[in-house]
Amino acid sequence: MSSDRDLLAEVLRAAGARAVPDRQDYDAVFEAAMRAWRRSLQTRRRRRWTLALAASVATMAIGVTTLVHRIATRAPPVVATPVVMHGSAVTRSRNDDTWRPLGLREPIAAGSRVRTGSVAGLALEMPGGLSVRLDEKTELEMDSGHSLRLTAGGLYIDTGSGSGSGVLRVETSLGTVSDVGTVFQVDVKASSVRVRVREGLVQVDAAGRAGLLRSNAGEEVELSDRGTVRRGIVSPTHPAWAWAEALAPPPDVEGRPLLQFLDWVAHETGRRVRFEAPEVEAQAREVVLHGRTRDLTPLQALDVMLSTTDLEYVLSTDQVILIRRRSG
Amino acid sequence: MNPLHADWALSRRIGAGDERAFRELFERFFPRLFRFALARLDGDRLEAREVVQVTFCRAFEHLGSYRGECSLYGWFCQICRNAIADRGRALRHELEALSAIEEEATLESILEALQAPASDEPESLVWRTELARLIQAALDCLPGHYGDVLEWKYVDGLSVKEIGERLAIGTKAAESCLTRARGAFRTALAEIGGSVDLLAHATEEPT
Repeated sequence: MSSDRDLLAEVLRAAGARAVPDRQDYDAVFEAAMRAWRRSLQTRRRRRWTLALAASVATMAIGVTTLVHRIATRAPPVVATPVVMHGSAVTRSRNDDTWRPLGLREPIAAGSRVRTGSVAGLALEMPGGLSVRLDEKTELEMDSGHSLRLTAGGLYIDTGSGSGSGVLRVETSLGTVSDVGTVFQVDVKASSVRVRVREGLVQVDAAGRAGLLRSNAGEEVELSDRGTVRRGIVSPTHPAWAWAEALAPPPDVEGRPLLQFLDWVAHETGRRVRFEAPEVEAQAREVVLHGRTRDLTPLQALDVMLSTTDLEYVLSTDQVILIRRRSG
Repeated sequence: MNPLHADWALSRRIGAGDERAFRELFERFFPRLFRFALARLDGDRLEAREVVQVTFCRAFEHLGSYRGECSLYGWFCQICRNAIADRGRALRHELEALSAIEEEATLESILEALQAPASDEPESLVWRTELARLIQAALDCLPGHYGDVLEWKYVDGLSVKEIGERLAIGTKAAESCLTRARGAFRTALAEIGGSVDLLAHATEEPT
């Protein structure tokens, strides 16, 4: 390992430093780029105003039509709201053949389908504090607030601590997964379905192939279309959870205690928080946070939040986030 | 966060008028694009400056069309390549072969680059120069500040603490950044065609 490390350093030294542009070049290009960027923003704003004006006229017309339509047909209930979106996602309602772009905070009605693009991800907030996250290239049918049908891709589900919203069922081509108060992930591939459990317990009904299976925290079950069942171990900090961590809806931290934020980071990363000493915990109890954590993973957000204190964290191999006083 | 997600998020922030995001992108991409252009314009700094300027202007005009399907740097490189072509400049053959490496380091593109015809200069010197450029291009392709961190540490000899200060992060975070940067660079080198073989040639003293 150490010789490998030396080799890497040697390669870099042998290659030498990269060419650096002059300050004059930097300043000239910066000015031009800044002007171009501002111009593009103005153009976009003008275009948005024009569209908004057109849209408001159209909305009035649509409003009248919708009112008439709503009287005639009752709209299906809203079952989810997108709260974090990376890349693109599309949706279509039960009676619609056309996919259309899904917007952030746009209510999703029962019976709708949602699909994420490549290099994309989506976090949905559902009734009862349920968090459902879709990996890239995932397609999900939202039958109701308690029943989802996963036809492709990966799904991460956090039923929350005090859900009380009843059992959530995820149907796949090879079986149905039901939670018993838990955090889990379902991945649908062409010929298999894999269920990983991070916390709690799930029940897997393998559609008559293998009967009823139970999977505990730290376990994974893979059902194949040949009827085989494979069981394995999956640590709560396994890289398989990383995409879902990146989609974690950021908590509102303004004016909140650090300890509450640490609980969130621990929950989202499958780790436990420990303090190096009682006085460090006492110090952490006094810290009140300010700012935002948008577009950051939980550990990046923790980095940012702790950077304003004299505390730091280290990750230990036993799934612990150790909080200690900053060294040096 | 997945680097492509991060790139896409950065482009969205810029599109929404976030000046900090604009400056972050400019700081990160300007030196890399300048080197990208310089290598394709026979070292003509004035022309490289003009080409990079055109690249930024075009990129911001069309930023809304970036969908996060490739790296943002790769997307800028493509615009830069077009800007060079628009000036009627013929790309040097071997650099054309290298261009793919600078966006997506693949074994095939490296082989193409290594098999490119030599110029009038002594073969070993050309090979060494191109290899050094390959390594430097690999640094430019690493996500975030990884390339800078590696250069500061191993070429400029900065300590981890000094790197942390430059990036305005703690020493611990700088150490972890360095570890991740090493991993990313090792992967890039492996794709280039085997770090050990490259080193054997690169560190050989001229006789």
